[in-house]
Formats: sequence, structure tokens, C-alpha cells
Amino acid sequence: MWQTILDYNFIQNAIVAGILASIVCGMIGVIVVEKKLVMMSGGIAHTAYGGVGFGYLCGIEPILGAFFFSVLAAFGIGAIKRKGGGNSDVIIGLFWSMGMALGIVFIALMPGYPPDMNSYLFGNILSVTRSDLKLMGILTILVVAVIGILYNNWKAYLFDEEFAKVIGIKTKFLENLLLVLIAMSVVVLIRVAGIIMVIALLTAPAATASFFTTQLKYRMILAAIIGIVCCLSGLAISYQLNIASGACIVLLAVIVYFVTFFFRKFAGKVKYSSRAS
Amino acid sequence: MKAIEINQLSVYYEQVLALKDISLSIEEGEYVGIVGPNGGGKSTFMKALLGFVPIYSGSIEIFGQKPSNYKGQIGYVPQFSKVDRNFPITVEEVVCMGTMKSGVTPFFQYSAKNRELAGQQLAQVGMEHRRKRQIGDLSGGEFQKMLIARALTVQPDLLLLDEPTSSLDVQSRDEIYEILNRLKGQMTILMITHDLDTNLPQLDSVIAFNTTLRDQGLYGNSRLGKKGDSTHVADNFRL
Repeated sequence: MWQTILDYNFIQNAIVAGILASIVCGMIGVIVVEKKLVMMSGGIAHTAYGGVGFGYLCGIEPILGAFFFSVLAAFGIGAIKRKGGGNSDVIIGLFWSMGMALGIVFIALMPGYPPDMNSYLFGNILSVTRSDLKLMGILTILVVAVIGILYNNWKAYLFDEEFAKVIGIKTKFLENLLLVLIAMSVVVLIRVAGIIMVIALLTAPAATASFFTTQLKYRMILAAIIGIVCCLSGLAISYQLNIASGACIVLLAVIVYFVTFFFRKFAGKVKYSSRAS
Repeated sequence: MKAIEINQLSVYYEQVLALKDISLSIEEGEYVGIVGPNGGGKSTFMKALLGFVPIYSGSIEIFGQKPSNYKGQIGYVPQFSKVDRNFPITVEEVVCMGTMKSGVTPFFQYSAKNRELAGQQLAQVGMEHRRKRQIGDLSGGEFQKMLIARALTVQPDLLLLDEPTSSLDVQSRDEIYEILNRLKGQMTILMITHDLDTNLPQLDSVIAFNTTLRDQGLYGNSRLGKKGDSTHVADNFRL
């Protein structure tokens, strides 16, 4: 039966999308968790909803609209935080709700029947198209390349930004680059987990991996593997039970995190606590 | 030669005037303590030296250069409570960071020479045996020594320390001061401290801030009172 299922194009697309999303989750998720940017990532993700609505209103690919809005939100939040113009929690919260509100307004302004936005909100990995895959593939390659090429720069920046600045590392450039990478990752993940659940996929595999290894690069690799296992298993369960794939994948990732957390805790082996715990 | 020359410096930190009209100079090779009440501008002074905060008026020169031109030649030891002790990284990797090139360097890898230099600095602070350990395994004192080794790997002419002994036990505190005492004379050292009792006898001079410069004096000067007597220091600096 599975052989027949695997012959379907939409299943093949879903598998590739799951793998790409997991690679991005593994690399960016570890950075997001270590740099404590979870809520900021949530803010960027939710602002993307405005971009989806904007895309539909202007007749461009909604995912490109999401990317455009995510990058703007990333720079907006980053710039306001840097200038110390307000409490970062408040700013993130405002971007979060403004993005959602803009999405609703843009859709309401569209002539005719509104499109179904559920796949963007909650994810639908089974609806990933070849053009979605192309964009996801390009963004994944970019994320992996940028992280890999500047690996030791990232490590210095993540561990102690102040010292990195003192020795002359361009921390502002790295910060801006990281914001763009997070925006890219959000776009890759939207089709898999949806805007509302992106945070879980960004954090759960990374946080689970932190229980098993104390080396940053192995943490990224392990987080990607955990993500792939959760994505493919979640996909299979959702297909079997005929329930929403995004929710299935996210639930599985969260369950894996909590099971690992409690198992390690009760085994007395939690050495390096996760920021997400 | 003057290590630091400051003229009529005023600095705002988050819309508050943190330093007002400061003028002072520090000689090359001096070991200086920076004291003052909380909110008195000590940390802002250090941030200004590091070029982290904009100068509202006045000027700073470090070995004759502006702070922005002197990047990469200052050893900096932050308060260890501000650094993530659970970050997945080894002691050696942290110390090696001092050897990184400025800017953004694609494909940068630590060379054998970088690791050797890191090893030498770890040996200098008595931490060579811990070089392969994860930083999460270190005690507070060991963590602070690692941060000092990292700052020394920069091979600085100027070493800045922000309360290096806060939250440390007495033994660790004494070990840190012993290391700094050994470095005395090899480079200019500026250290923010509240620990006047223990630390004062080793210092060449003390600078006291409370938004304005309250006093600057060479140790041994009568204004500082009896050697090691923090009460006299506090009184004489009107803290």
C-alpha cells in the first residue's frame, strides 16, 4: 500500500518539503533557541500572514508576499530593538497582531470570494506544489550555505555578542543576516506547519537535540534528523488517520521533546538544560 | 605615553546623562580601579571606551586613537553573569575566539597557532588542564579565568574588566587578583570594582565616578587614606 502511496506526486512533494523544512529547522532552530529569539521568530512568522493576504490582493505568489513581509518585519523589529525605542516584548506583540490584522484586511479588500487561508495558517504539507518546492529548495540551500560558511563567526556572535564586537567582528551585519535567515526559514516552514505553529517546529527539534549533544554543529545535525523523523512520521499518521498534517507533525515534535525531557530528567541526566524548557 | 586621554566627555545612556564633563588621563601600564555607586556611570565609561555608546560631547583617545579605530586591540572581560554558561562550547574554543580576525571571515577555522596561543593563555591563568571541557562544567572562578584567558589571547595593550570578582567565593576572588597582579606592568589594566578592601593594595590608582568624575588619585596619595582601608577610600572619594 505504501509503495502505491509513494507514487503520488503530492506525497513525493510532501516528503521533500518535510526534509527541506527539517534541515532549516535544525540549523536556524538551534540558533533561535540559543539566542533566545523564539518570540521574535513568532512575531516574524505571524507578520507573514499580512504578506500572504497582500500576495492574494496584488495577484502575486502569496508565499513571495509572505517572504517580503517577513523580511520587513525582521528588520523592523530588529531596528526598533537596537534603537531602544521600546520594550521588545511589546514591539514583537504589536508586529505579531499587526501582521495578522493586515492579512485579514487585505483578504477582505479582494473582489469576489476570499481564498482559503487555512493552509497558510495551519499548514498543509500535502498541498505543496513544485514551484513551492523550488522556492523552499533555494532558501534551504541559502540558509545552509550562510550558516556553514560563517560557522565560527556565528559561534562567536551567539556565545558573547559583546566580546565579538570588541574584537571587531561585524555583529550588526551578522544580526541583520540572521534576521533575514529567520524570515527565510519562516517561509520554508509555513507550508509545512502553518504560520500559527511555525514556532514549534523551529524550537522543538532544536531543544530536543540539546539533551543529547554539547556541540553546536552536532546539535544542528541532530535537530535536523529529529525534524525529518517528526515530519515524515507526522505525515504518515495524518494520512492514515485523515487528520491535518501540520498539526500532526507539530504535535509529534512537541511530544518527542516532552518525552525526552521527562525521560532525561527522571534518569538524572539532564545536564544542559534547554532554553525552551 | 598616555594609554587613555579623556577630555570633557559627556555620554548619555538610554536618554539619561550617565557621564558629565569627565576629563582624565591614564598612563601606559597603570593598573586602575574604577569605583562608584550603582548607576554612577562606571559601566557607561567602559562602554564608551569600547565604542559601544555614542559620545555626546568631548573626546576619548586610546593610545592616541579614537575608540572606533582601536577595535581588536582591547582585551575585554565582561561580568561572567552576562555570559551564557550553558552554551554548547569548549573552554579552548572560547579562548580561541580572541584570535579571530575582525570583520566577517568566511570559512574561518582556528589554526594550530591559534590553539597554541589559546593554550599558553590558559596556562597563564592555570586552566590548561580544563581546555577540552565544556564551559558548563566550570565553576564560577574557572569561568572567569577562562574569560580572562580569552581577553589575553587578543594580546592587548589595554585590558578592561567589568567587576571580575562579583559573585565569586573568596578563594576564586584571590586567584583572580593574583592573576591580575602578575599582569600588572605588562599592559594597562582598568577594572570596575566594588571590592575596595581586598583589591585596593594592588592598584596603582583609583577613579571614582558618580556621573561626574569625583576623584582620581594615585595609590599612596594621602587622599586615599591608609593602605587597604576601604572606609577611608569611600570617604575620601565622597562615594
